[in-house]
Amino acid sequence: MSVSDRYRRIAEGQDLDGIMRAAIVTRRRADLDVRAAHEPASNAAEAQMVSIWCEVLGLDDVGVGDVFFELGGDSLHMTQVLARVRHRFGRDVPIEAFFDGPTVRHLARIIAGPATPAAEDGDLTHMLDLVEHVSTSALRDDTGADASPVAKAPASTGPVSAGPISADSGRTS
Amino acid sequence: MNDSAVRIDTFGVVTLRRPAALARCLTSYIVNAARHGRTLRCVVCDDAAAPQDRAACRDVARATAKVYGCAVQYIGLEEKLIVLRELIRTRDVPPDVVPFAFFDVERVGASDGGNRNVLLLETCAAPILMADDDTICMTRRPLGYRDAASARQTDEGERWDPSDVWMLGVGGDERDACRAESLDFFGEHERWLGRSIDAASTIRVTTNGTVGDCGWGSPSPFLFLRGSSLARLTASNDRYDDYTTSRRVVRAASRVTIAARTDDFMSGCFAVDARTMLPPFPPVGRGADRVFASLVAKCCARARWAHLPIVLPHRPHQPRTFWRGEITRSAAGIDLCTLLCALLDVIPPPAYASDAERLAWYGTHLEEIASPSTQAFEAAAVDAVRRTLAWQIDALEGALASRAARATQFRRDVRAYLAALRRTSARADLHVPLDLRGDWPAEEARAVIQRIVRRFGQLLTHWPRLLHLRREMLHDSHVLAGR
Repeated sequence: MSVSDRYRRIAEGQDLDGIMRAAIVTRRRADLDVRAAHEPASNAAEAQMVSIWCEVLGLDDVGVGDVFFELGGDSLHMTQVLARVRHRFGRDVPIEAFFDGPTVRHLARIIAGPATPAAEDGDLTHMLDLVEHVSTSALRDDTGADASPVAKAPASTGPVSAGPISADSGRTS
Repeated sequence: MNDSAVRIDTFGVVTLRRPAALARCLTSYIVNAARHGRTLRCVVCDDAAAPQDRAACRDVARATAKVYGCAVQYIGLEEKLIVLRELIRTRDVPPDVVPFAFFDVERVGASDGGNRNVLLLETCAAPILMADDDTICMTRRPLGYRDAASARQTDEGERWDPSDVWMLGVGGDERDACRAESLDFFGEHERWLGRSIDAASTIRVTTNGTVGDCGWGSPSPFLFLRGSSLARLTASNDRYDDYTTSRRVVRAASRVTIAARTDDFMSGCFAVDARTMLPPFPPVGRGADRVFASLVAKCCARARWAHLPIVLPHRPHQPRTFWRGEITRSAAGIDLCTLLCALLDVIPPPAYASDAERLAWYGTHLEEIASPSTQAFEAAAVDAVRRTLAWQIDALEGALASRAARATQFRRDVRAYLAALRRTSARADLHVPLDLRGDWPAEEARAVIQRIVRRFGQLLTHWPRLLHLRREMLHDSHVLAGR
């Protein structure tokens, strides 16, 4: 069923679930208006995010401090918001961001901020592969001949030894 | 109380992909120490998986050492692998104990405990002050501060952090709850660390308060506040939502408070007397500090905690808030470290033993609990967690009965939390931590939990030996270096 069909059915009173949901959203909206002052978008990222939320939630307007879940947003809506953010901003927002702060303000701040590299799955896998490799080679190699990837440590780590792990960072003492 | 001769020359920082915060943190502690005639040996322990992230923090360590003329040792993946290799090559401990102690080998997703274990091993036998990279050494005194002559001890049975909490809300002024005061921060910790309280008790951990982000994983600790902290939270319905969503608090003891336990310990900044054995942190899972605290109480004979009336800013990289309604979220289940604490709590304490033997006692019991059939393990785990939740339910029912809890919104949240806790408590999969749900198929999550409990037990059993081996390695290398 297309979106326009759905709205037509709501308008004609055929989609009772939709009507109920719309009523709940309206009531929550009214509650929020009483409880929290409506805060309009104050920058471009917030304005874009407001627009995405309105599209996905079927609302006319939302405040930057409104809580997604209190506006009737659920996990499906969440994935729709994240897909549109990816499409419009070219940025991936992790789903945890929604739980850290399910507001327009929080998500817009993430979009507007520098891209922080998430713990790359590939890096973690590589790190754990190294751990396993070093562990098994330590048992195999009693001679101390270093076939382990430790030798690949960047030169800037400085000398390393079995003693104090002195990746000397310019120590003076 | 007797004076002690503890001197804290070592400062350890745990970091992860925050080079700017690391630079700010290192600088602030080094400058504070220098102002009071101290030269620190700094140790940066980095948990980053990506080479470029490690390179950034390595550069910060090097630049800081150059600018301030002090030793700044960087420990990243490469350095940890070297220690790992040497410890395994001794063949003195089971080979998979060391990787588990240092890394998130089960891929649970949070491994700051493993990072702290490396720090404990690398600085073993020395008193050390440890801090998170998002703390800043700018000293303040909390509201109602009283000097050392007013030091007090909590009741022997008291389990929780005796700190007071002042909620700041979004626009609150920090200066209403604490005031700047220039202090020899390391000296303040030295005054108490290692002190004998009576014939047998010694302060093994000193910790201080924070201002700024509360550092809590969820807002539920607000519901467990007591005394004057609870009175402040519930004084006004108008401020309640603001207080419970903003995350901004001052949390500190207003006078030196000696405690036998601190089960809800937060490890943002603390000093430990590691001249004798201290337990390891669980290497994975959020809240590893709580398990460490539980083990200190159980295994370190007559160890005491000193909560100092000092406040440092805690400034995470990105300002965070709780969302409205989040306060009941954590009642939906437990985290991995709550499971570990719950299991440790049901193990009967040993009668007479050394600290290392006590640790091995708890380790062996955890291994036994996690070794039999999955069904038996799960029955034991569910039972242990249910006991922990029963305690929480009792505490919240007590809060509802309290006259201090007047605010209707507080009472509404406590009731909602209680209802959610009771639902959670009835679940058959109660022992499956929330941190593992969702990311893993249910069966796999259950197997991982059982494995982690068993491996953590194994780590406890062998930890004293690891400390001993590392101490010998460090000693030998110093002897060689001195030739």
